[in-house]
Amino acid sequence: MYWHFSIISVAFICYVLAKVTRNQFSEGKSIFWIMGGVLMLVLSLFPILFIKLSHLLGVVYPPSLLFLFGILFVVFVTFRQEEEISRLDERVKELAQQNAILGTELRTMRERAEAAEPHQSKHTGHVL
Amino acid sequence: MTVPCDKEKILVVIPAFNEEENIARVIDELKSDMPGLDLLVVDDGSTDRTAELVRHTMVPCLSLPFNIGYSGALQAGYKYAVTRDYDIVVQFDGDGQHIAGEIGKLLDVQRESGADIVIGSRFIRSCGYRHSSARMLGTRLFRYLITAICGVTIHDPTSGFQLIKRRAFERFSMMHNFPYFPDANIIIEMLLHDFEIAEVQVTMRQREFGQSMHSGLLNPFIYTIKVMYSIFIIIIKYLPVRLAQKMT
Repeated sequence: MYWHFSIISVAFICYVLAKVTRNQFSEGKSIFWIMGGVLMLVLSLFPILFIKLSHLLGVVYPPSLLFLFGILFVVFVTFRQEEEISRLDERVKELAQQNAILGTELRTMRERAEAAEPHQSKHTGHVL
Repeated sequence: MTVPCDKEKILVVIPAFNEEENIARVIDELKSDMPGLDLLVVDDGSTDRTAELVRHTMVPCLSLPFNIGYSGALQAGYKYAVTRDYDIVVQFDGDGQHIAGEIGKLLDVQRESGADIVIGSRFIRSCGYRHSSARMLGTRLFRYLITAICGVTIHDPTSGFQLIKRRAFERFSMMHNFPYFPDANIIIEMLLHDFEIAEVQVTMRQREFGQSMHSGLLNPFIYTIKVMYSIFIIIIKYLPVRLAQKMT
């Protein structure tokens, strides 16, 4: 049993939960990290599980399996983030296009309204 | 069936990014040589006086809040054309390379052939337009790929001077992930989905001011790789559709 790792895991879980409760991290995305934290906690409390798993997979040096899992986790997270960025990119582009079209429509309407009632806007001093 | 000319609403979409040196001249030329066509400049987040110069000419200007790239600007133009019920969109570069009078040729060919897209081509026969050798190599490769995949010869797939009928630009306007480089990839996609594409020889000018987005040695290479990847994705997307068609 590795107490220091258990403490780090608990602290990590608490940190994620605190972020979620303060609405700084979405519920959906936090589940993944909470699960990661719980896994860290379980492995630090029962390291024998990990050693057995490495023997099962034919890994001679158990810590190297830990590194492999760590790298796979980072790759997975990066891929998910890129996926999300692509989606957001597309949404931002669509918003920019809509924004430009609406801006032009608004300008055209203003110009038409000003052309139709030039005196009124002059007297009232309103900018249409 | 071709819609009679006087009933067709035609919009010339001019994407422009930092084109203060060229844009006023382009608009003047379009107004004098092709009167009666509606113009729309899509200012793709220019940091110079492009938008201001366009407003002085009283031509509608879609001002994108930031630079989203050539294809994003074009797509904004298609969306505008859809909301304003246009029948035809003509893509016309804001850098002064395209010649306004040549739009007539595209319109004539569209009316004769009824095609969904008419490409203003520089290379059906030689018109003295100079391309860098790296870009020419890319153009040849795309031409070969289009013929190999679709069995159609398109001499100038990289030309941005195109006429697009509503059926086609409506599809473009709704496309998610509209390719960052609409080129041979889009041509292949449209041909695979039974859109008709015609070509007509046009004359183009060499760019006078500013820098092309394909300048340099590395850019055309990266561009070619990206378009090839896009073609690969289109084929992967299209294969299940084709298989389903064959099954039924």
